Amino acid sequence: MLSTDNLSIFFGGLKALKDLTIEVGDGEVIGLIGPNGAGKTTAFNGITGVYKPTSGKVTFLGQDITGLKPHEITRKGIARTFQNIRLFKELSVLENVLISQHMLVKSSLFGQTVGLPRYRGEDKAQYDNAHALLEELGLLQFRDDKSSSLPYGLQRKLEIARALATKPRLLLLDEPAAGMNPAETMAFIGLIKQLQQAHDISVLMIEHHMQLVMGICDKLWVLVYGEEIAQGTPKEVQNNPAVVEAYLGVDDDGDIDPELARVGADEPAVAEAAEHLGVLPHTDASASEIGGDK
Amino acid sequence: MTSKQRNLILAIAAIALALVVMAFARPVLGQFWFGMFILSGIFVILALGLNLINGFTGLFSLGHAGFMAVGAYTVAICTLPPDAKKQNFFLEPMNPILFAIQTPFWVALILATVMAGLLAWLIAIPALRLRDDYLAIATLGFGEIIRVVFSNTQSITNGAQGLIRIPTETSVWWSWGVALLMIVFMVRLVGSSFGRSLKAIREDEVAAEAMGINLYRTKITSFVIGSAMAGLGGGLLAGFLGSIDPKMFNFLYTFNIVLIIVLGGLGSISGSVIAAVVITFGMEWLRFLDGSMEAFGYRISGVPGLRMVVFSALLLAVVLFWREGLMGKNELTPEYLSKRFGRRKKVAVASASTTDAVAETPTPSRSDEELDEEANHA
Repeated sequence: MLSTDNLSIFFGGLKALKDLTIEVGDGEVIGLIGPNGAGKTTAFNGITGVYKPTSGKVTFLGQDITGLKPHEITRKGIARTFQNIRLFKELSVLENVLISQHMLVKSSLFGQTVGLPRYRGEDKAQYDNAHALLEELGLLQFRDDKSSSLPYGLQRKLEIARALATKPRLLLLDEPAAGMNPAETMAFIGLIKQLQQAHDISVLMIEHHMQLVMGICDKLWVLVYGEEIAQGTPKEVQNNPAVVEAYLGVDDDGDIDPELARVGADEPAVAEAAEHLGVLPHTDASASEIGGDK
Repeated sequence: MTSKQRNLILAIAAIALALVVMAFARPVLGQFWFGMFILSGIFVILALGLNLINGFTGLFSLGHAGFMAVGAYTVAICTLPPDAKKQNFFLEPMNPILFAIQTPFWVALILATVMAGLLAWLIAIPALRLRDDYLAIATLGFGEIIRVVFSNTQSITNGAQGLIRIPTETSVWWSWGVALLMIVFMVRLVGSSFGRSLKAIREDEVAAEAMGINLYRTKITSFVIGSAMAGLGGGLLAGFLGSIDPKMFNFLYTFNIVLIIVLGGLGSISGSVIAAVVITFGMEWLRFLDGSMEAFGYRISGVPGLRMVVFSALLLAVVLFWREGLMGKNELTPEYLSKRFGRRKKVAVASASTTDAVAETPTPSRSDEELDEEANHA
């Protein structure tokens, strides 16, 4: 469905993303993981047209979509959410979902203003569809609230509802579970699976919760410093020495440095990485939730 | 009766009331204030146009006076009778094609709207690639360019002498009739799917684009419609004043309209209407400030322009303490009024829903927390 071919994005001398080649098949859920600054969000921005790729190609449903404008790419069927939630804050929950259906409206501006029958039909369809989506995501009771007044977790859900309203074939989720606790994360896994089946979409997600990624992804790509270092099923990736090294560092023998691991237990970031990868037993320090990557 | 039907009935009642006010305004207000009443209708149109661009789409445009000038001159050239044209153009004869043009007032108004819209479209193509302050400076520059060009095209606009003896056809029915039409048009436009896409652009351009909204085209459309309304208002103004010259359409005119939309609330139609009326009347009413005054036994000689200081101070106060303006982004609907003033009746319901909201809201503001955390890590 979606494939990138040696996608590279440089900012001046900074190579944010080097030769990324990924593939998302029909109905697959793919994960993109990696430490901070690995270029994951840059990859998203390259795919959705926010950044113009320096080189390489993005193909979607057999069409070359490299260098198209973001709105054109959305119209081709790729919808996305944002890492730092970007809702239309002052507008109501319902309006947020209605807006992303605007691109499907065929009536002229005149028809919309005067309220010709065709537009009235489209308007009603918009409302019905928004209603259904909000119900599906459990947001219906908040429909008239300002979107910025929603609790954080629901804002993330609203972003997904808004993305789904564009009737996409592929959904890009940028850290959808950031800030969620383990119970919420489990519920979220169920939601993604349900949405994926109900809307017949593929999902490409950036995520740090290993628990989530392991539970849902068919395949993972691991990025470090803009370069792909591993790919495969979650199990393969988890046991890949290169991945472990990237997250924790290794000693000369290729084992995990016990010293580092011990120090790491006091270092929340390292401990978190270790816990995410499942290579270290839980410690007190690592047990404390630090809210994922920013 | 659904709330939709009720609102429709209320809207029709409001229009009927406005028509009654228009019919009886002259004997009640007297000749002078009646003129101000007509002028306030024109300002309503101008303010709605700028509010569409600045308030609803979030584009910072300061070129409104330029588009007004285009509308005003179009109406003047179209409606001036031949002998008045001869009288006006004594330095250099008028362009023969323009001399031959003679249309009724309503055709001239339509032409004024179209001309301003066309020019706005030409300007928008390069200018709307800019954002925020840069766009403001670019549109301000274009507005001034229009004025300077009009001061120098002797055979078309009669240059700096301006034009006099324009038939004063702008009656209260014209100014407030068109204003009512524009209010209805704005309500319909802003409530449509297109209107929602404008608000989306105002809220977050990146997200709007990611939701499939063509930023550039939508912005241009909004800019052209708003500027065309400025042309329409400018045309009515020419028909109201009877004489125009390029100096009239300087930046101060734009400033007055910006003042109206900021005081009324950026993104509120009813706010613009109320503020347009209040400011137009207030501007005249405060004229006594320009004259000499006696205070505490001292005689202060007249300072022309002192009334503008009042408005500048008012704008300053609003920006500092009352950012949303009179109406914020709300409209004067029954729902809004009952929410704002009908508190007592709904105390029980309101308190119940607020406790729910408090229970549902976990962390107050995420972005602050994020920043703190980032700072700690660093």
